[in-house]
Amino acid sequence: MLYTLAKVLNVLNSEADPSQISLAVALALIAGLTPLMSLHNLVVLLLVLVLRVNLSAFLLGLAIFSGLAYLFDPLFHGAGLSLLSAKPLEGLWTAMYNMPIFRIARFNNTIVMGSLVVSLVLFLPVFFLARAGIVRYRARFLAWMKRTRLAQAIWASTFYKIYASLPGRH
Amino acid sequence: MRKWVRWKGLLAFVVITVLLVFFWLVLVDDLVRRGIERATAFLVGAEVNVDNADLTFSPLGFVVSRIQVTNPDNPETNALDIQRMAFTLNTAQLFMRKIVIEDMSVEDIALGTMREHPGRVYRKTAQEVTPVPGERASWFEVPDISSQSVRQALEEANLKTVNSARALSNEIENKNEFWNQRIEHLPDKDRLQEYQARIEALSKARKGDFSALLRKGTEVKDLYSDINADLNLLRDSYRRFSEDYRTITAQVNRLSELPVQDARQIAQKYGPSAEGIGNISSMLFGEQAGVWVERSLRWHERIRPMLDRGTLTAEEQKELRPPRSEGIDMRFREYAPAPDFLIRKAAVSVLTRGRTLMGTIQNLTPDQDVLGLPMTCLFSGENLEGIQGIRLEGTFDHVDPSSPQDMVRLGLEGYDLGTRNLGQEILPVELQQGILDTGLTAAVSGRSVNADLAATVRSARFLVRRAEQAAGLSAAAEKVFSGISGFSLNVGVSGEPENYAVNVSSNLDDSFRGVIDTLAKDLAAQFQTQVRTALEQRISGQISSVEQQAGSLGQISRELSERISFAESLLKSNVFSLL
Repeated sequence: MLYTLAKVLNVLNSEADPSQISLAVALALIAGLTPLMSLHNLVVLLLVLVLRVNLSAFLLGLAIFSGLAYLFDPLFHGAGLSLLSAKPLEGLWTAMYNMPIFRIARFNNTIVMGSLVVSLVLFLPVFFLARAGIVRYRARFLAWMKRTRLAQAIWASTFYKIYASLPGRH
Repeated sequence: MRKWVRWKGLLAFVVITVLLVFFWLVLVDDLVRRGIERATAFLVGAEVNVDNADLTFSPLGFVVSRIQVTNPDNPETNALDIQRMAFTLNTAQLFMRKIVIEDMSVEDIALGTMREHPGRVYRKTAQEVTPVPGERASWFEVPDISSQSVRQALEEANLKTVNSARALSNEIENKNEFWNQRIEHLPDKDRLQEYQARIEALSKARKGDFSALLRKGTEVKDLYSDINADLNLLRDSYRRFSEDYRTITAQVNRLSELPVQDARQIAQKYGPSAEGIGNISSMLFGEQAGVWVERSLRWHERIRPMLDRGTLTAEEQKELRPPRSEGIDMRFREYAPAPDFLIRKAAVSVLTRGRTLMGTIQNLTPDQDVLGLPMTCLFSGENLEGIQGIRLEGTFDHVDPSSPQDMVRLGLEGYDLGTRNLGQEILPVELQQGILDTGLTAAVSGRSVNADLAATVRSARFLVRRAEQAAGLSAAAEKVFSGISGFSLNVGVSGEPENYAVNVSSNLDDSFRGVIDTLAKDLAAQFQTQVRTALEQRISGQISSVEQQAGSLGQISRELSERISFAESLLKSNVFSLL
């Protein structure tokens, strides 16, 4: 637990660009909320590796969102079922159903469809909110924290030694 | 641009993708092996073991070795033991997530082989039900007199006899009272003795003059008239009494015959009859036919999921709660419809009776409505051990899922029946040898089951063992069977899978008709005697009491007879001697 918390702080306090961290979180949202072994997650993996996003943030986000996905499965199933049963979209789904690439992607599965649509809808809000949060954290909270006696005490603690020993800190 | 793009990442992606493909290729054999085990276990309801599965690339397919399917009814044996199975997949259809096997070979299937370890059973099959032969067996025995139905009939008969006895007893009492009162008002012995005294007085009277003679004549005449009047009165009473007495006696006789009549009726109703026993064919082959029908229907139920996919309506899909993280795969119209699973052609070889039975199965799919073709199969073999020739042809038409029609034709030639027990405990018959030629047509159409089997058995030899319960039947059957070397057999099945009738007939029935009639009569007579004894024991006290009462009427009869005799003697000898 301490290790995970230290890792989160490490990412936030690193010199990494807030956009790179927030993009990693947004991509982790897609990979985490949707079934991991899906075709679209190969695209997400490609983006994570090719774009200069923070890998630690992605892996952390993936773990957190995968856990949340389990709780939200009924919601995703309901959303996917509603979309796939929607009469106006029937033509689109039928056309996609007859294309091998979409069949391999399992777009017609209620949870795949529901979780993908929900994560895509949340992608930009999560990206911008995370970015704004990181910027604000660094500008205000981190600067204030460094001046407090608590921070002084923490720097002297075991927790800080773990935190300081993490690779990529300096 | 450089700030955002990490070109080394592309290399990492390629490496990761290659590693994923590599691991998939390494693991796919095991995945397929487990997939076959799970899918087959789901269908059969018992453990399935696959030794190995190998992926082949050109053409794309798999070679699977040693598939053992546990028999759910006997987990220590395999229902099927397949040595090798190879198949090629349609690659284009695979991209559409469809498994279309163009060609399959299933080699060396063995049935009923022993397993190293008993397999797990996930779903027990229903117990076989053969109610008809079991019920028929009881017809060959004297019915149980203590059974509920017979006991009730005895109680009813007993009650009827008791009521009749009570009514008759009352009637006898009334008659007795009436005639005892009546007899008091009839001329009695004292009155007749008065006549005797008058006669003696007249005979002692001196023969005097004419007037005395005339007076005596008048007195004799009066005496004669008096005696005659009393005699007529006594005779009339006696006649009326005799009528009552006859009626009472007849009723008493009827009462003592009631147990016999009731026993006859109960025996007719609950006892064996030639019609109830049925025919000898049912007794000898009915049970076995019932077992075969049950077994066939169970196999049909077992293969049904391979022929019919249960499709959900849109409403059912909405109500269905899928397992977590699995969801539901929605289906849409396909431009070029193809089944999700299809084995277009499978060549099958079955090892049995020292030879190989070759066969082909075509269009095996649970989506016949999509394919538009029924599943067909054809197996044939010659010179098998104990079978000269066999041909099995089947069509399983589920193209229209609402009216499935399945039909099987089986031709069997020169099947050595060997030694097998026929009949039941009441008539243990052993077929010591026989050669069977048969043709079977069986059809399951919707909720209707029909089967027709016509068979002839030649070179037959029977052995009849003596049964304790029906030694007479055994002796008669022994005589009949000793002259039979061949017979024909017809079995008809009709009805619904849960409620069907098996009709068995053969030319043996004609030979046995007389034997069955005699047996039924003997058993019915034994039963009737038992019922009669039971009834007589119950009401013997009542009947003897009524008989005693009836006997008391005899005293009245005797009394009247004595008075009449006395009056007649007075009239005939004494009065006429005065003249």
